[in-house]
Amino acid sequence: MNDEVRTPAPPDRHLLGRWTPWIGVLVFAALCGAIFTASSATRRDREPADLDQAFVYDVARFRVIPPEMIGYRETLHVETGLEHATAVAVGPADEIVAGGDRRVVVFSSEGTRRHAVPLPDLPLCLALSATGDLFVGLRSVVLKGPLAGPLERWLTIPGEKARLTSMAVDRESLFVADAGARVIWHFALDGRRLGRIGDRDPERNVPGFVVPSPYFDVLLASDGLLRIVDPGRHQITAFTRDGDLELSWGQASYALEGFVGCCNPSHLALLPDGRFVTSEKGIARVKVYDANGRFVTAVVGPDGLDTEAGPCDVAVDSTGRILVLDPGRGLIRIFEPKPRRDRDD
Amino acid sequence: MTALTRRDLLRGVALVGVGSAAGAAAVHAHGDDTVWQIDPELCGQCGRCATHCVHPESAVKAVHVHALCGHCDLCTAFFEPDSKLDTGAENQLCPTGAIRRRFIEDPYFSYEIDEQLCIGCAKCVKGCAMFGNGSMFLQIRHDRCNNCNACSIADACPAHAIRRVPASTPYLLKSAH
Ligand code: SF4
Ligand code: SF4
Ligand code: SF4
Repeated sequence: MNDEVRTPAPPDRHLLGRWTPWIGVLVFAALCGAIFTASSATRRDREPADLDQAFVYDVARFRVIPPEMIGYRETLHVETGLEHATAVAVGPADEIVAGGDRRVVVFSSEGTRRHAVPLPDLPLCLALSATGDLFVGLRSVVLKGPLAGPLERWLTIPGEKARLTSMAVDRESLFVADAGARVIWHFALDGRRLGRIGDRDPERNVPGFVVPSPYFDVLLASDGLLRIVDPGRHQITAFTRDGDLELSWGQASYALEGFVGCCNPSHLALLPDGRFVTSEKGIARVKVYDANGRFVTAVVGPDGLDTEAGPCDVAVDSTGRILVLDPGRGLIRIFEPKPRRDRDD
Repeated sequence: MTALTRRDLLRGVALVGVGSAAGAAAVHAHGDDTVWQIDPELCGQCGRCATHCVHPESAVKAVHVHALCGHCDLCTAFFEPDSKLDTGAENQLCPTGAIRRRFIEDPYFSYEIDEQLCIGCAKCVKGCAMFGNGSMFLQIRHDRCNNCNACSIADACPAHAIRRVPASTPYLLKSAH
């Protein structure tokens, strides 16, 4: 037996010694990195632009809507499942129809998903006839078919700059808003082109629409006149089907009663009682105006909507519920009038 | 007052200075032939571009792509929010008076940046992005930029919007398409 007590072998000091300076360098670099990261994070988080208030663009005060000015409350929301939701419409049986990505998704009036209709491209606007025909506007093409699908290519809007933004349909005609040409195209339901509405014509006292960005809405009202948004003039105009300008209302203002920014409203809908629903971009506000254009109430303001992904399309069902597309969250928010006891008016 | 036609303006990108400065970018190129630039799609208009450049006068300026502009009368990059629609200095949004407004034809106007006066504060950029088409945005001007090894604005930018781009294509311009 060997009683020799063996001492453990010493670590290979030679090896360690060889790496020591490098470990030091690494530790130093890691420390520097951590300090740099921490300092830049601190800088980003805490060091604001040291600018005088005159250089700050501040519209915060216009984003606040006093609660007593909001006459609606959200009663339901529907998750569309769309990443890029662009449009909302209502079917003849109050079906909720959402467009986005490369499809149209159809829900019951209570928000139960029924089916989806695939599309060849991003839908930009939707319209539904009383008989259940679905019209989908792509950039310059209108697709048509039953609400259950499939849809067929039906019309091509002339002009290289065509940019469809809205459609309105009745038993005779389809009206297509084209923000590129700044006109409303009028088609018969057999596809014949019947005319264009809104070209500048001083003899008819038509000034021409001002459409700075691709938001240009049209609808058909029960008085038989078209209502067309003239966004650059902050007005809702009423035109006959033959293109005569009958009246207009609306004014630019940051106040709740007016339309904010350079060009608004972006979207328009009609309540069953003849009042109008408007939606504004920039400072997202959905509001109700009476048939003569007098402000009635706000529906929802910027705090209730995520508009990072774009402005909010609006639609109305037969019971007067207001459907607001919340594109940032891919939701359709449904609003109904507050019960009278909750209202301060 | 010279009336420009709308077609003149819509013909294309009219960035006086940026085009001529492109050549100068090569002078300041990094060893790996890159330069710093702002991605206008990422910029959150925080204002630090005006205050964090090593130059006393920032190398960042607002630029304007006319082909993207709506030529609005009520331009939210030109007028202070809720101001009167008259061009008095008190109604103009730019604190240095760097934005020039010119009549084109009823009801259209053109807007140009006077780069000598612009300090790159992004106030107009914010107004344009919020309501308009985003046709005004910030760019690092390579006829002014030192192309520092570490851009001190990039270091402070909360949106991480500033990155190196090839010196041969030194600007990140928005396009009408
Ligand atoms: S620091 Fe960044 S977010 Fe701020 S203005 Fe400059 S590029 Fe835009
Ligand atoms: S508002 Fe600021 S960024 Fe815009 S032009 Fe004036 S100084 Fe330049
Ligand atoms: S690289 Fe230097 S000079 Fe150029 S913008 Fe950044 S801090 Fe200013």
